[in-house]
Amino acid sequence: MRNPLLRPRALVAAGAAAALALTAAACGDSGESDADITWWHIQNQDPLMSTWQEFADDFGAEHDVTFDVQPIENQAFKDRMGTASQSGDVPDIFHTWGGGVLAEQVEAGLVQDLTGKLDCIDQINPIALEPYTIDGKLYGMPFDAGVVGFWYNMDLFAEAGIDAPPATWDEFLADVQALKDAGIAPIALAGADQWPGHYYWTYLAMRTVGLDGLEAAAEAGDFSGDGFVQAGQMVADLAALEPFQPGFESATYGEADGQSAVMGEGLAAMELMGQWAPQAQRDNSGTDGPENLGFFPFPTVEGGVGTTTEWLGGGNGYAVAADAPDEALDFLCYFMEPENYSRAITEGNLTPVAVDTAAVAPDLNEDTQKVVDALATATGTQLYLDQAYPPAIGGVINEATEGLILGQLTPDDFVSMVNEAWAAEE
Amino acid sequence: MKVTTRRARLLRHTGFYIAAFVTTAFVATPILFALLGGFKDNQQLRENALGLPSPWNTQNYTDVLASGAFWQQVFSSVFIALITTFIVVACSAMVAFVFARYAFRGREGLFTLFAAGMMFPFAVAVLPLFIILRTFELLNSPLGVILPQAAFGLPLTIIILRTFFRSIPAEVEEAATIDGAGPWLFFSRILLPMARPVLATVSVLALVGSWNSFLLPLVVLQKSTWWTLPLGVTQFSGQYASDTAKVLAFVMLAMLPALVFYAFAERHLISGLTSGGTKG
Amino acid sequence: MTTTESPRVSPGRPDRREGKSPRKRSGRPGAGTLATFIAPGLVLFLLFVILPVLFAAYVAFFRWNGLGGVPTDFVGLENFRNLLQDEVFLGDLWRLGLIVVLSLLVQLPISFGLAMLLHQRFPGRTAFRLLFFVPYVLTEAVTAVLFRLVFSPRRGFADSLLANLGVDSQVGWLSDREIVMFVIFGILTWKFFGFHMILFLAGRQNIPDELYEAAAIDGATGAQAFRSITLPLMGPTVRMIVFLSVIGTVQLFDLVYVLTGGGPFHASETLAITMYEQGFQRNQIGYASALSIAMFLISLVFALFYQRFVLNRDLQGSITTAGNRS
Repeated sequence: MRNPLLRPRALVAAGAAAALALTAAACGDSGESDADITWWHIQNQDPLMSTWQEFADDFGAEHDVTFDVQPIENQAFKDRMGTASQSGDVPDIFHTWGGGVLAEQVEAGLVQDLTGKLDCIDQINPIALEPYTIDGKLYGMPFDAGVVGFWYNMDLFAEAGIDAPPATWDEFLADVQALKDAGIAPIALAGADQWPGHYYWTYLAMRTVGLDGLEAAAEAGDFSGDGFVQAGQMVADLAALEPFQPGFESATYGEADGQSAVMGEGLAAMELMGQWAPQAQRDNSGTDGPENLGFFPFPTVEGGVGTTTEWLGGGNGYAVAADAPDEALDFLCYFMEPENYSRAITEGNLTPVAVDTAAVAPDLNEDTQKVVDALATATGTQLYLDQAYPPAIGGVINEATEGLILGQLTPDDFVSMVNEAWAAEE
Repeated sequence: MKVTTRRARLLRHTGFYIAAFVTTAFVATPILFALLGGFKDNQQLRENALGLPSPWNTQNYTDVLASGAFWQQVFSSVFIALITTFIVVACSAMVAFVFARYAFRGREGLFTLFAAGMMFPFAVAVLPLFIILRTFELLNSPLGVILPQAAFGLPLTIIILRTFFRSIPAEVEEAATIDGAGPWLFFSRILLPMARPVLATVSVLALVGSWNSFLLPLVVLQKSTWWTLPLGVTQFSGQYASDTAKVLAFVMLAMLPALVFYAFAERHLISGLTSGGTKG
Repeated sequence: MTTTESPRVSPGRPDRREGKSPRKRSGRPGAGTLATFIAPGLVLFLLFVILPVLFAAYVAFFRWNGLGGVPTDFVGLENFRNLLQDEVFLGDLWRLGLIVVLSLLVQLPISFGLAMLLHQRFPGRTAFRLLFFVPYVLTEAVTAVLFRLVFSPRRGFADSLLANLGVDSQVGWLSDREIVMFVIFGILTWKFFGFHMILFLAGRQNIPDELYEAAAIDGATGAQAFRSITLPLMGPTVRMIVFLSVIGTVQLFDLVYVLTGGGPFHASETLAITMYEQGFQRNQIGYASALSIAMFLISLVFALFYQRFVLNRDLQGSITTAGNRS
C-alpha cells in the first residue's frame, strides 16, 4: 500500500528527471513568458474580457505573435504592478491611468516613449493624452476618458421623497438622512479597496480649496490649509451618519457583495464612481442594473471656491514596456482601428476618446452620454489623486481616507500623514 | 478501565461520539460548502446557500478543468515541489552524513549555524530575498522559488537526517570500509537505502511545505507562466470576484490534490510532523 | 539550540544510540571529500538564508526605495525609532499577543481534549483522527479564499446558516473592527487544531501503559492518574506546541492577507502584512527591513527566553515546524 512516489529510488529518479527539465527551463529562458506579448488589463468582466481576448487572438493570428493576456481585478492589478515595477520587469502592455504612478515607472526606465511611434495617435482627442504625457513625451495610449460623479438610483430617491439631486453638500447630507429614514442604504462603498473612498475626500478638497488650491498644495507638499482639514472633517461628518451599506468596511468594488453589485441589485441608492460604473453594476451583480439610473455632479460646498463643472476624472489607457517588441505598438493601433474600437465602445459602454466620436460611436448609450456631456462642459479636471501623485503618497491618501471614514483618524491626523508622505518623497 | 460496566461504557462512548461529531461538523462544513457550492449556480447560491444543489450543475467544475490555466498551475506546483524536495533532501543528506559520521574542526560551529537557520522566520527574509533574486535575475523564474525554499528547508531536514545517520551502528561502516567502499559508496549504496523511511518522511515534509508556499511565489512570480496553485486561486477569486460558484469550484479543485496526497501519504506526513514537532 | 535528547518524549527508541563518532582509522576521507559533501547545502544556505538576513539587518539602517542601485541614505536608528511610534506596528504586536493568548486559552485545550478523546479506543476513532487533520493539509491561501466566501455579507454561508436558524445576522464578520480578529482566530483554530491534536496524541502515546496499570493497582482513580501521570508526562509536548504556536503566529501572513488584507484599516494586520505593504506596495524597503529585523528579534528573544526558562532540557530539534504557518 505504499505510494510509489515515496520510495527513495523513485524519488531520486523523479528528482533527476525534474532536475533535467529544470536545467532546460533555466537555460531556455529564465521564466520569461513563452508568449511574445504579455498584456495585463483590468477588464476582468465580460463582455470586455472576451473582447480583449479576441482582439489579441485575431491580431496574433494575423501577425504571427502569441499573447499572454491577463485580466486582473483592479486592486490586485495595482498590487501586482507595484511588485512588478520593483522587480524591474513589467508586462509588454499594461493598464495605466497616467499621472504620478506612470511617471515613477517612467523614471525607473520601465516604460517606452511612444512619442511619434503610434500612427493612430491622431485619431485620439489630444486632451485625453494629457495624463499620459510626462515632460512633453507620451507614455500611454488612452482608450477611454470620463469623470467621477454620483450615480444614483432614481426610484430609491423617489421612494425617500427626494425630487431633485442635491446641489450643495448640506442638501446632500439631508438627502442621505432622508434615505436612511426611508430604510434605504444611501451609499454603496467598497471600504476595503480604499480608492473609492478617496474620491470623497478629493472632491471635498476640490470644492473647498478649488483646483488651484489643490495644485498649489501638491506643489508645496503641504496640505495643512484649513480647506483640507475642513474636507477631512466633512468626510468624517458624512461617515458619522452611517450612510454606507452594511459590511462596507470589508467590501471590495467588484466582488459578489461589493460596491457595484450592491448598486446593481438596487440595495443602495448611490455611489460616487467613474464612467465605468453603470456597466460594472450590471456585470458584477449579474442583473440589468437599476431601471432608472441618474447621474449628478459632486455638490458644492458653502464658502468653497469649487464649482460643479470641475470634475474629478481620468481615463483608462495602456502603456508599453521599454523592452516590448514592436508588435506591441502595432497592436495598440490595431486596437484603435475604428472597427475594433467602436466594438469595444458599444459592448463595454466605454467613454470614447476619439477625435471624431460620431464615427466610432454613432449612438452612445444614455449613461455614457451623460459622462460625455459632463466632459464637454467641464471647466477643469483633476486626475484621481491616487494616480496623479507618486504611489507612496497616493497610497497614504487612500489609507488615510479609510481611517477617516472608519473614525480611526481625525482630519488633523489625515493632513499630517499626507504631509509626512510628501516630505519623505522629497 | 477494565472494571467499567457495559452501561458506563455506553455512556462514555455516547459522550465521545457527540464530541467527535460536533468537531466533524466544524471541520467539514466549510469544505462541504465549497464542494456543493461548486455544483450550484450563483442564483442557487443566493437563494439556497445551505441545501443540496438542484439541479446539479457541473459546468463550474468542467469550466475550471477545461481551462489551461488550472493545469498549468497544477504543473507548476508539482514541478516546483518536486525539485525543491529533491534539492533539499539531496543537499541535506550529504551534509547530515558528514555531520553524523565524521569529526572535523568547526563541525559543531557549522551545525549550529544550520540549526540556527530555523530561528529565521521566512517572512523576515522575503524582502531581501526579493532584492537578491532580482540581482541574480531569478525573478519570474521557478528557480527563484525553488532555491530559497530549499535553503529554508535545510535546517529541519539536516537535523532529522543527522539523528538517523548517527543511529546506524559503526559496524556497518567498518564492514563497508573493509570491502573497499569509500565514503561516496558507503553513503549512496548503504546509508541512503537504509534511510528510506526517514527520507520518505522528510520528502513529504518538503513537498507539503513547497505546495503550500504563498508569500515567496507571490513576490517572485508576477507573470502567470509559472504561477502555482495558491497564487492561481487568489488571482482567480479576484478575476471572477462576482462569480462565487465558480470560485468555489476552483477552490475545491485546488484543495483536491492535497487531499488525495494526504490520503496516500498520511502516515509519512504525520510521522514527519510529529518527529519534527516533538522529537527531531 | 540544544541537542539534548529527551528520553521522556521518545522513550525506548532503540536507535537512539550515539553513532560511532570520530573515526581516526584508515579510510578517513580527506578534507576535500568532506567539503564536496557539505558544499552544495552550505552554499545554498549561505546564499538564501544567511545573506538575506544580514542584508535586511544592513538595509534597516537606510532610507531606500529599493528601485535599483544600492542604499546610500544612511539614517541610523531612525527606522527603528519610527517603528516604535508606528501605531500599526504597535497594533500588530497587540494582535500577536491576542492570538497567542487565545491560542493558549482556547485552541490548545480543545486540541488537548480531543487528543485525549481519540486516545481512547472506540469504533471509528481512526476515521475521526484522519478527518480532524484535514484542514491542516489544505493550503492557507486557498483556505482564506474559501472563508472569505463563507463570511461574505448577506450571501455568505455563515449568514445564510444563521438566517436559516431564524437569526438575522447583523454581524460584520470581516468588516467589524471589533470582531474580525476573533473570526480570524476561529479560522486559525479550524486550520490548526488538528495539527496540535496529532502532536498531543503522539505525546500521549509515548506514555507507557505500565504506568497507568501500576497506578490502577495502587488504587488511583482515572482523574488521579490523569493529574499525576498524564499531565506531567505530557509537559514536554505541551511546551513544544506552545512554542510552535507562538513562533508560527509571529509570521502569520498568508491566511490573513488573502482574507482581509489586514483591514478594515489595520484591524487585522499582522507584522508580516505590515512588512509586505511597506516593502512591496509603498517602496519603503529600509523601513520594512527594520520591521523584518524586529520580527526576527521577537522570535529570537522568545526562543531564547523560552529555551532558558521553560523548555530547559526537553527541547530538541526545537524550532522545527515553525515554518508551517507561514
